[in-house]
Amino acid sequence: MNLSDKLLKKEKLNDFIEALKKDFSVLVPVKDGELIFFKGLKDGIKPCFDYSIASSHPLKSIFLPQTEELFRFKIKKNEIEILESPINDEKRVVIGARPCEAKGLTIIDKPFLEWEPRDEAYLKRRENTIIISLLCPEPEDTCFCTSLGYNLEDGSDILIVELEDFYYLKVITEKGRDITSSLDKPKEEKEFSILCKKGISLDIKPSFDSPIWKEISQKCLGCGICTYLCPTCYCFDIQDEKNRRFRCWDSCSFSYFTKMATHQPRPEQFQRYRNRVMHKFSYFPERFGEFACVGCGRCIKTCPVGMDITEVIEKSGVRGQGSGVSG
Amino acid sequence: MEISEIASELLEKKGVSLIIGYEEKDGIASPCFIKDKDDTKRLVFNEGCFHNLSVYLTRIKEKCAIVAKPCDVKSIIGLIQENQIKRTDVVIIGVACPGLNVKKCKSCPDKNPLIYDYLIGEKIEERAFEDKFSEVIEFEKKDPKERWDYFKNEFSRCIRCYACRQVCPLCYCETCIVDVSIPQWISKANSSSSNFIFHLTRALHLAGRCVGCGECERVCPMNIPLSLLNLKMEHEVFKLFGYTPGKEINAKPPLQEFKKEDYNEFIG
Repeated sequence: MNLSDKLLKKEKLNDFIEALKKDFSVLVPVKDGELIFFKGLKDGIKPCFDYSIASSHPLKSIFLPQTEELFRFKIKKNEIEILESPINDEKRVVIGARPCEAKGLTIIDKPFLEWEPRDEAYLKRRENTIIISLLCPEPEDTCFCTSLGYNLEDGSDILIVELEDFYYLKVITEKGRDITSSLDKPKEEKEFSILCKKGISLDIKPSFDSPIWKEISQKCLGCGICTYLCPTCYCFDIQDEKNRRFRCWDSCSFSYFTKMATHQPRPEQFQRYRNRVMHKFSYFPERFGEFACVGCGRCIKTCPVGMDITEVIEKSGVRGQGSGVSG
Repeated sequence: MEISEIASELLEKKGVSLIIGYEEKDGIASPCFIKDKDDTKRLVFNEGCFHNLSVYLTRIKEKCAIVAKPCDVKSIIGLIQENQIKRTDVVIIGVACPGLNVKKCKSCPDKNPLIYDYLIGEKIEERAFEDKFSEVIEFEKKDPKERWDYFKNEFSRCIRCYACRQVCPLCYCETCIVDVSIPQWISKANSSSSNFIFHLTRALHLAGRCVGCGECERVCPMNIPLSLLNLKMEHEVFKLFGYTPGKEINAKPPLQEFKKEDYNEFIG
């Protein structure tokens, strides 16, 4: 694959976006009060590229919408007629995602695309979307992505680094190459990095049997903020209403999650919180070889009671075992 | 006395087995649960202690002591009034509070806890608060469509994480209407209509009970102005019954009792 980086003069950014709009629906971060949502770029909508990851609505929602109709049905006398719901297959470009959120999508890809059955609606949205992410100028105080050892280019088709007069475009995939063919190459290719102050050790593996779970999750209130805003949490519920079946986000923090006709296997909040952490740092790595956490820090920043997942890993983990994930 | 000294004394001599208070780590305060006398030095109270710890009282179900600001004490009063906890089962370490470094404190008139067993800090002179309901009265000047559209737009952002419910000391129902699926009262589909029903149901359930601690709005990750809705309900209850929640342990909340002179025009 012959991929070379590109340069884009700052004043040409608008032209670049306008050109993309001819072939794609362009999604950009847009300010709504103090929050950021990814919205279609239309007249009158101003993108906001300088934003805090902690105050942004998760990028995953444009691939895994909070509520998604799967099919409609008609109940007749002796049969049920199923009417498949159309899958939105518009071609999209996201501009201005954070690298950690783009990485998060590659994690959701694993259960949705590597396991059978493949999720066709999700696949279509992934295939039809190009992701241009923007390297953070500075990590925030709750960020810990760099300690997790993944490549900041993972999941993005293009990674933009803002320089003084130019945007430096690291072209990562063929999809990214195809939309930047008209741009100039830099004289020499550069590498960029950032370094978070916060971190977790790759050498620690959280232990299911740790006696500390009860204590560290005693303050957890069991809301769904951490899971719903998480770039990698993908659990959903399936519901029938009237004549339609849909899926909607669900959260292992909720008391009815995994509740069965006979019993609730995780009746206490500490068991539910433990499950969230174990899923991210033990069960998922065992199956897919990497953490289901990208270190965005959103769960730390938005937790109503100040739960800090990096601290939880430190306290609940067993050192020296390794997580099965290398940096 | 300092909080830690009081906590030590309670654990050592007064038969209290648990202190619910605040600790600080990396400059961030958060709730903590102290059982051991040696850990009491972790207890702090500072500008970042805006959490209402009384939410834990109905979950812990054991005799304990709690660090409580004036607004938190109002929730404790509400819980006692509603027979969720017994006054004798909770030791209140009240804190006089000038208002903390968070938005919800800007409109809070309460500086001193109404009931307490210990008081931290000097009593603060209470200033007459202008009209508590001015924000509601101002909002009511808009026409109905404008008000509807405003909340419809605000609720459209709701992600149904239920943090507002989980953080609320008065939302102690064992099963919330929104979690019931047989029958499905409120759709799990995230839409502005189902979000509307959830928030309006919650507001009605809290009418005359919500003490206005502001935690629901503080924690909302989507910045939904829930306090305005709750304040509106408080205003209605005040106008109809002359009642303010969270003030008097022995008062009967209006929606829990019947008086002949109660407003009943709607019966006809």
